[in-house]
Amino acid sequence: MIDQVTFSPAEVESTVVDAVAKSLLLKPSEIAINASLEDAYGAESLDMLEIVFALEKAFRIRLPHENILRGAEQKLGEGIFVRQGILTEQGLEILRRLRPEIDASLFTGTVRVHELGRLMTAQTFVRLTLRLLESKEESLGVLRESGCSRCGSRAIYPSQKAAEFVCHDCNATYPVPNGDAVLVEDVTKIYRENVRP
Amino acid sequence: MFAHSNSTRVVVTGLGVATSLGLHVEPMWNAILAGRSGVGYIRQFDSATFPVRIGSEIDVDLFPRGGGYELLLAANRSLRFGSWAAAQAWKDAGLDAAHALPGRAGVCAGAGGFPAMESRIAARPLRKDAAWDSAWLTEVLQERPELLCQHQLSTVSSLLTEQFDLRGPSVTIQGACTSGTQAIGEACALIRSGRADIMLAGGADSMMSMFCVAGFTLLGALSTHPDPETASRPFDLTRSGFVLGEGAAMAVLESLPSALARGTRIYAEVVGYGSSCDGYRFTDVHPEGSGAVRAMRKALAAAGWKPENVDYINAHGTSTPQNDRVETMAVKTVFGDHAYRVPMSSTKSQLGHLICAAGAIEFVLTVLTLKTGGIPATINLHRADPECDLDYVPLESRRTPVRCALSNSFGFGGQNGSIALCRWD
Amino acid sequence: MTQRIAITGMGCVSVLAPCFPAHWERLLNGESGVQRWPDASPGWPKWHAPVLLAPVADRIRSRMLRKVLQPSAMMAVSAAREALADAGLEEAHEILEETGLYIGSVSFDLPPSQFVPAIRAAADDYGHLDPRLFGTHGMLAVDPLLIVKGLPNGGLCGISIDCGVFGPNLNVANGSIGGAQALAAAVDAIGRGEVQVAVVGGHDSLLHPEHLIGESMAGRLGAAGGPGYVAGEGAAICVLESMEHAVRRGARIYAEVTAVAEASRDGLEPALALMPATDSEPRLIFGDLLGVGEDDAREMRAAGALGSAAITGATGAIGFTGSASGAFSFLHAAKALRHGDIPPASYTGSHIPAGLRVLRERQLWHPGSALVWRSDRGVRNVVFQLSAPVRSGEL
Repeated sequence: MIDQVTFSPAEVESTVVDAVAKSLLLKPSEIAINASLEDAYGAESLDMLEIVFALEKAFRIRLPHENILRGAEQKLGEGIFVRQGILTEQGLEILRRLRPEIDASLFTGTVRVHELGRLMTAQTFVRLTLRLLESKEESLGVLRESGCSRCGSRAIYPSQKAAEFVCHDCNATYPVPNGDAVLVEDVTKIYRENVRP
Repeated sequence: MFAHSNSTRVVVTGLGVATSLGLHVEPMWNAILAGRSGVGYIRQFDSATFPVRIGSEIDVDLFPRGGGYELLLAANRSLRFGSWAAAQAWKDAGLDAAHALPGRAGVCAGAGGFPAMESRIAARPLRKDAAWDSAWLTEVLQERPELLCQHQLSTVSSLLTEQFDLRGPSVTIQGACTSGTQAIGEACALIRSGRADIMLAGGADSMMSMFCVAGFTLLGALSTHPDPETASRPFDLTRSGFVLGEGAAMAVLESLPSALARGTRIYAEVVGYGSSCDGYRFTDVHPEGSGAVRAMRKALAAAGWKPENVDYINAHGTSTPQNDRVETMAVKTVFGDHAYRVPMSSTKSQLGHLICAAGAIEFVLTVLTLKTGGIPATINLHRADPECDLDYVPLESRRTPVRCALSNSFGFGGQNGSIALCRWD
Repeated sequence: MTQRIAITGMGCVSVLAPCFPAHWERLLNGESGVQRWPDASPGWPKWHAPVLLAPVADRIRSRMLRKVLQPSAMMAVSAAREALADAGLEEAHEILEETGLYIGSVSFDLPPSQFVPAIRAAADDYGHLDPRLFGTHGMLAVDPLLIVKGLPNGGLCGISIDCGVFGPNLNVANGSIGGAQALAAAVDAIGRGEVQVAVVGGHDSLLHPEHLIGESMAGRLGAAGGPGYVAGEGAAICVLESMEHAVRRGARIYAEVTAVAEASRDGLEPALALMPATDSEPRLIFGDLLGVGEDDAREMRAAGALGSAAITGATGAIGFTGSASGAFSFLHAAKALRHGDIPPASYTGSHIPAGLRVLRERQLWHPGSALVWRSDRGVRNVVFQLSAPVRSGEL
């Protein structure tokens, strides 16, 4: 049967803080969970990349790597969330709902899309990790119910690749949900249910 | 400084290239103006399982064999490209038959590559129970001593110094993506300081090995578009990163008195060079492109130009979301309203990013633009990013006389270079 | 040269010390940092001159730089910060924005450990590298920051970021001549009026396995006392300034750079021939004194042609520091000219021509000028002439 490794929110938070601290050459106790990593600790995009990789390995998930709003615009229509590099009111509303860990007042007025990196906090990584763990559990749940789609086996285990499971009987592979796809779906859902004018 | 000072004037008298679009200047230039892409699937290793499988690659089987240094050239792709391009440029400048003053001729090359661990394993497989240690490495290098040159960036300049019997300065520059531009700028400086009359200058690089492709992929720097020919799309809304390329370009730079005395053909004059450092972050560009602004302004000042004098800009234009947006901003800062009138194209759309050779090949292309009046297009530009709203010469090359041009490179680590060139009539 | 050029600040990291004053004192006392290499297996060099990195890393402000910079690049940042402080320019932000940066660097500093995990993960049962396995498994074992950590211009970019230097710049990655060529490029740039101030020097570490193996194969590595050199590492950085700028702001001037020449292929003589004549007798030379037969013979021949001369060099004390070596000689010469205190050389080579004295003891002496030279196997050669500072302070 598939290895059922679950993580409590506390464990997720602890692992995230450790990864952030390691990347920024700080002690975990020095990381404030809601502080902007860029403003408070001088983090740059290279640090964020390292943190993303560390978390993907630790939790066997795929975090988003691309710009989620632009990804959603490819489904919903160009210019809905970002225009001339600036977030529209709808874009801001999406972010207020998608990122409850950030002070909502930061998503008002003129916000440029390339400045969004400054709003990353350790809590943001925690929220993303929990979301992708949840998504992984859903897809694993389906596999547990129905077995390998090719041979029906239930001998499905994590493969050597971090973001993948493999059937030990027929070698069929099952990648974990792609973080970009999951988040784009979330954005689409929020838009259709709450934000669309 | 430069054209408006008493120092020696510097002209371009020879060109040579090795690119995925051609191993000689003319066919490469024709392919560029025809809007062809040199990007394909990587063949130098089996990239089937790699997230990125494309590159602007040169078929090394096209090079003639023999002629000396074959072991060295076979061991090091960028060395082969650089040596080839240099010989072409030297001949183009009429120096192979001429009696150049060897004491006053030198070389300044941008050199790249990456520790080629793959070739060590290929030379001597490493079984799982075997230790990777000095004994193993010693055996490999004793058997294949030519592999040592892969770790030595100085090899390109060393080889050219020997090949052309150069007695002047022999310099190797490494400024990441700005190397080629800096090598040319420094070569001009050496001529202007009176330390050489003739300089072979340019760059050679090949960063398409497994480790390099993996490394750049992990950084998120490479285009994720799967179709090779449309993957490099500078300034386009859907751009997602650059395409790795390999190759070399060399120019012969010469003091004007030397060129006139030899009666050789002159392509163009280098009238300005600006160099600056962002000093901001290792891979993030300064948000306002302040370093790029400074480099361009210095080049213009050195040339004695106003922004309105510039007819064409060969952009750095890597096709990364960050660079293209910030570069556009920097150009607007420097050129004001004129930014909307001056055509600015990125030849990386066709050749990909040659890293340490990029500035060199783009210099050569800019010289050709001045000489022929052909302005290369930025291909694959179907939907411009609204934040990138300048005239990037989308999709089709143009024919317009160009008198004054800038060639820009803005590199990893924050080193920026801008060269000002003008047509020679 | 249309501008006079002053040396106004110095900093270094060497096996002797992580800062210039302590390094200089130990050098003057004839101390050596060459030490036995405890892990020496057969065929591996038994001696090295390694730098203690901890004090160096602590000096670097930026955490990102501490994370990605290779050891010798970190040494460069530390030495640059020291040189700027020594020149009184550390907080002079307006000046630093236009200050040039010319650095001679190492080719590649990445140790094999950066590559081995991926290679193991992608090896088939016979130990061959399987590209398909690399794409699936090997990549997972590649450090996401590999490319950034391997940037040969890391030292220069690190100095720019950590010290706030934004002007014209050049990273010379040309083997062991890099530092000397960076100095020459800076001298030219100031001479042409392109910059008023420049941070210049070299950093390198020869303790990379492939370098050691290659040099061993060529029979060039040796023990303390030769024959052969001991591999070392370090960074030597100075501040060069137009004399006008230096005098105007009341900078302390170590020495003046009065000439530079560079030539390839034929050893030191063609570049030496371009040095201005001087009354200074004997000529004082800060040279390589590598301890390798061929190199020594070449150097001795060049020194011999000068007639009466005295030579010193730091290789015996700090090991051969590659791209940094020319810069170390440059700093030593400038310091010696200012204080009239010449460090000794430990050199056991032969071919010493008549008329040349190897300074094996510390000398108290105020020569008017000194030559600094670096020759990379006679193929690339750079020579400087430095002059003692004008005591009256007038131009």
